[in-house]
Amino acid sequence: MRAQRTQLIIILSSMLLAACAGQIPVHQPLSTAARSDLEATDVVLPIQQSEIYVFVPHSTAASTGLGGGLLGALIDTGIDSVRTSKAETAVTPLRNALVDYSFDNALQTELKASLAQVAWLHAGSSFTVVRDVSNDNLDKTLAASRASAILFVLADYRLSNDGDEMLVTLQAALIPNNDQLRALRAAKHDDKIPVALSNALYRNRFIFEAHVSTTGDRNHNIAEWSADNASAARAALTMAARKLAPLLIDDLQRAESDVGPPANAPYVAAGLSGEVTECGISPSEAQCGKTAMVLSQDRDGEAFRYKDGSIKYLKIGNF
Amino acid sequence: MRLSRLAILVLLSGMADGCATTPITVSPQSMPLFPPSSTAPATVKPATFDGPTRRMVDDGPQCTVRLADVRDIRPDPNDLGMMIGRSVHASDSVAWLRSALEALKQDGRLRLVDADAQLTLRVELVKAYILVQNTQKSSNVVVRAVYSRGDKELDTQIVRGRDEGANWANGEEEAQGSLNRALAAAVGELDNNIRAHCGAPG
Repeated sequence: MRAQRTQLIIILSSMLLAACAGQIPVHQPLSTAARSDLEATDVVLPIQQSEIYVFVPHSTAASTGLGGGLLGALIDTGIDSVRTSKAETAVTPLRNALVDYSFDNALQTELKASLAQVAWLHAGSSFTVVRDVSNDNLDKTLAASRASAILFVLADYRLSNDGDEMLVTLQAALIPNNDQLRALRAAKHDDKIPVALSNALYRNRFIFEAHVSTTGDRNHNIAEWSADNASAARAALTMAARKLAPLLIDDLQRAESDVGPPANAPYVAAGLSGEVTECGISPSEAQCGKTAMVLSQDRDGEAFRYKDGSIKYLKIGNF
Repeated sequence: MRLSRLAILVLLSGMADGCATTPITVSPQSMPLFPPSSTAPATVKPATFDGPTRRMVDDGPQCTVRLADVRDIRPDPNDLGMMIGRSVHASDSVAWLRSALEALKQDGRLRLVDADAQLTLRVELVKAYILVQNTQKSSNVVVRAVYSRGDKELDTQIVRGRDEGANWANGEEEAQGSLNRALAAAVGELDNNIRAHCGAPG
């Protein structure tokens, strides 16, 4: 469990704004007051990765089996090494087939189109992708902005360990950039790290999930994603951007009292996702939850809203 | 149990730093042999870039090659990824790529010239990054080569070099070493492709 926590801290520290902050609610609706005070909003997309990767679970087998100790930890490191090497080898054909594809551009395009529909946000034409997702760099980005707030939409896309699942995660956070808006932060906020999630006037997590026909064979699954110049992977990633951007816009416009679906909402089973190792620290229900309320349906799949307010779009069927 | 915790902390000392974000700058030329023992900024000493790992395709006559252009076509040219909260940058990514291409001169089958070559080559850096998962780091470098003869474009090829290994200390020399090895692997692949194009009809 401890090693699992360590792993998750690592993932989150490299993925999320101000990962060292304590746990905070996944969903923070935007208040009416903050909405009316937004004069201009910059949009920044921190996307650390340059290519897709395969999620590799951290080995704890030896540490656990040997009752702890340096030897166990070193053996686990060796297991990690073999697993990572195999995963990197397996995903290389898909990376090669996607070398001319830009998820960054797909997400930028969809967010531009969606955010333009929200007049009060005053999102300008600047939609910047940044690779350096460190708090320092994001703090600098915030300090350099002249907008009253920055909407950070941090993105991550990857395949599950067995390669059958494409998972796209967006962490949205509207961070204030003037005193008027900063005064509207939650009582428990972070004065040291301006881009800390706890400082967000609005935040939520969005997941897109799609599958190829599950075989349990990673190489076979990745071959399916890679076939025909990676047509399935391209379609999935583009669809992720196309489905999640409108869900984000709808969520931004929710009433400030609407933190999540009510307890008596009609919940349905919606727990296909969530490799166990991802569900330790700071997960959202959309990543690890079992039930959710159906938010919407279309010909491609269903959107679910979970108890904590997080949202998942589940692609139904193959590409 | 205490030892296990200690081991993990040592192995993942980036975390022990409390989400340290000191950026890493990769020098255009360096090939460290050993990882540093701490997260303190490492002194990067200039060294000769190792030559690509070559497989001899054949022992035919020397082929003259002109390197017409070397570019980094990525949106953020000097970005080289991240290692647990530490951004990795190149001080000059084109110089870094050029330094690796210098190793082509060590291939006796090729002769790099400035004009009147059998083969003209344009090289573009398409991807170059390091990433960390769990206790492991991995680097990828993707290079596009455009081959031409005279005014006629012959072919475009993509080559990829990779390197994987334990992320011991989340340090600068580790990052540089891993990225250099990935780049050297890509150039090694490029080397053989160049030789194959030398003999191709055109």
